Amino acid sequence: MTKQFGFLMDTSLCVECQACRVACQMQNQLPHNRTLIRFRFQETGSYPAVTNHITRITCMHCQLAPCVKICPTGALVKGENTLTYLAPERCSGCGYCAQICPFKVPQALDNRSYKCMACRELVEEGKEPVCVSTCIANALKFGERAELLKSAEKRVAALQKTFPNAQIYGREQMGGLGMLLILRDDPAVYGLPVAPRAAGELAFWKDSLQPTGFKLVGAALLATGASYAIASRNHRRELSEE
Amino acid sequence: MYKGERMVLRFSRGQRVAHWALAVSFFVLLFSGLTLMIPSLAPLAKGGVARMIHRVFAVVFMLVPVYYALADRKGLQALITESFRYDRDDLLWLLRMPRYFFGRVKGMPPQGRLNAGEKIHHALIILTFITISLTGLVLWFGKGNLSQNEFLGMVMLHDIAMYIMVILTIGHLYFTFVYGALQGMVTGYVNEKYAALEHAKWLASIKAEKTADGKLPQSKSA
Ligand code: HEM
Ligand code: SF4
Ligand code: SF4
Ligand code: SF4
Repeated sequence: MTKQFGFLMDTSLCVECQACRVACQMQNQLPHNRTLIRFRFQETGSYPAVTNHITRITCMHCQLAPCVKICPTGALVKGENTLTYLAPERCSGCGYCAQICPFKVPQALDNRSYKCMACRELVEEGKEPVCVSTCIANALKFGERAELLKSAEKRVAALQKTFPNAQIYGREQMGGLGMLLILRDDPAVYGLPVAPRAAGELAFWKDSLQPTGFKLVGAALLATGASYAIASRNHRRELSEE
Repeated sequence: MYKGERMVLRFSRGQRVAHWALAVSFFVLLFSGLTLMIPSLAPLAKGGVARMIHRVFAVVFMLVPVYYALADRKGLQALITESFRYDRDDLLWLLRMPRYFFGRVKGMPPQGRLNAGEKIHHALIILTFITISLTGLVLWFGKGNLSQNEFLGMVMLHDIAMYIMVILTIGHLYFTFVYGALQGMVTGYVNEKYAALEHAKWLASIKAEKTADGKLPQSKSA
């Protein structure tokens, strides 16, 4: 049995220090103007009763990940722990993942895709991803998804006393997200899609159209290959009949 | 095969250049495109090389009709009109296509400069050419800003046009080699006997031109 691993971000604790972003850039040796973690801020209410809502725009590690399905090179794969890994050395930079991701996470720049690599080496050694271990506010956790869900439920129950709309995001979306978020308000307030989805044409294209196309090409090769000797003999015979 | 026969001009220089430019760019586009599609070829596509090659040759590919129009406008017009106009002999020819597939020309209805199979081939190439170019351009300039549905629609149409073109090309190569027709597209000239056998109506029409002004303008001795 594979165990689902994942992240839990308590957005109510994030102080927006961006330490995770910098740590991630260093871990993955990214140029200073490239990042795998972006932030989105939203203000609700009016002064002086303002609430700030912060969330990270980073891979949500969808269980049913359309980016993995669409990636034509195998650069995007699911780990046994169900995290979505990216191997940039296989990437052609086609940007299909950026087009299909319902969260608009991957960025196709410099002929490759930029998205969270899930700190593959660390995680497979049993360590925490660097964004998690760097977080000074304890807003990020990493671990077995089932356990993260349990602790998220407790925290949400406490938050609901002050924020009645507080909730967990990612329980069911895209088959269940590996990046669970604790929100103080509705997902829409954070700019998160309530019902993210990948268009059904994706499955049709990959599972029906493509195999059918290749089969038809194969059939054409077979039919012409098998008839070639007979047909050219017939033709030569007709010519010599003159 | 056809020794000591007179040769007649079937393809002008412009037509031959256009044909080979299209053929070369098609195969480069196909192989660079396939590396973007088949995981085992992915190492060839890494770092965007294949995508660059695909774009360069897409430009060559799309310029071929422009070149053709400049080099031989009448030829291009004839190609388009002939490809979409079918007479009774053409329909009969298509019904008897299985014979032709197996190398038998005798008993096939007489054909013009293009036989009905070639007409269908050209007609489909024209339609898929337009489809693959338009969808390719949308992907080129729009990728990143398309909705999921727009994007998937474009790649699927691009793929469908590609499959049709590949299958047409397999058939095209098959007939070329069964009927030894490669020479015609290389030199432009075909043997008069071949023309009589495969394109009787066309040969008759150029012979009619000959009687009008005294000599056969499009011929030379082999
Ligand atoms: C005017 C002509 C064409 C243009 C502008 C064009 C453009 C494109 C573009 C932009 C892509 C997306 C991949 C990328 O970002 O690099 C693509 C993919 C592709 N193209 Fe083309 N293309 C053209 C013609 C062709 C032709 C003639 C073929 C072959 C018959 C072809 C086969 C492919 C294939 C196989 C893919 C991969 C798409 C997939 O995964 O389904 N293209 N093309
Ligand atoms: S959030 Fe986007 S990039 Fe991450 S797994 Fe889901 S589809 Fe893929
Ligand atoms: S950009 Fe890279 S990771 Fe994204 S779909 Fe293309 S090959 Fe896969
Ligand atoms: S898990 Fe690793 S790669 Fe992903 S955002 Fe965190 S630090 Fe970056």
